[in-house]
Amino acid sequence: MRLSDEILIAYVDGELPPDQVRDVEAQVAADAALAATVDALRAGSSVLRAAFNEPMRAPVPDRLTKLFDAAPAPRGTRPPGVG
Amino acid sequence: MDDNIRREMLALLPRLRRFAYGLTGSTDEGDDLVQATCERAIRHIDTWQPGTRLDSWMYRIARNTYLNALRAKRVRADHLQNVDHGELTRVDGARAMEAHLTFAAVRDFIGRLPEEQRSIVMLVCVEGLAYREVAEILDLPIGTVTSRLARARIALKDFADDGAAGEGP
Repeated sequence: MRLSDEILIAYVDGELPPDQVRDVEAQVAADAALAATVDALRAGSSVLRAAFNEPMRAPVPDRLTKLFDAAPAPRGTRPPGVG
Repeated sequence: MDDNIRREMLALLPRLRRFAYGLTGSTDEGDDLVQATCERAIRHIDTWQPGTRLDSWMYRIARNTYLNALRAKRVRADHLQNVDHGELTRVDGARAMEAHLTFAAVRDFIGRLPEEQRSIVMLVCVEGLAYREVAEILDLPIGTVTSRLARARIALKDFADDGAAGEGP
């Protein structure tokens, strides 16, 4: 039986149970077109990761980190002497 | 808010920014979304169940905040309508910038996916979450996650194939 796209993708994502992994690996080993699809799916994922990691090399802007400096203490837990 | 939670949220910022960039298509809009997400998370921290994943909870807030903003603005889910990426794709002969353009083209492609696929692809492929976690974050049956994911991944593969076939005149 031809493997569905869902199964191949789950295989690439490491989401298949071991017995199904063995089955997929056997079929992929015997079929160059399937092997090419698996390679292309893997390449797609790694390009995606790289494409979205690239703009994140710059540091997190202060306006975001500052949100956590300013996080107000929950009511009733103010330190003594405040307010 | 507990100092440990605060530290954990700070440590999540790079991942949240990356996800928000994927949803919105720009660092500025993405950072606005992260800011709104963090403000909501800080305000509603008492609704987070200790022992459950803080990252999943914050991804969920980010995605819901994004959807609310989309509805409020009544804009189409295709955020690229206001962004001209044509300039980038027209110059793909420039060797020196090839890698950069490829990344831009890939991000552009993700921006054109329907939101229901975009969130899933970002969470699985970029954020590295398991299907089950993604299904929980998005309140979807796992079968819906896998079928939408497959549609997007096959479309990405076709897009890459076309790109490779389109090289040269």
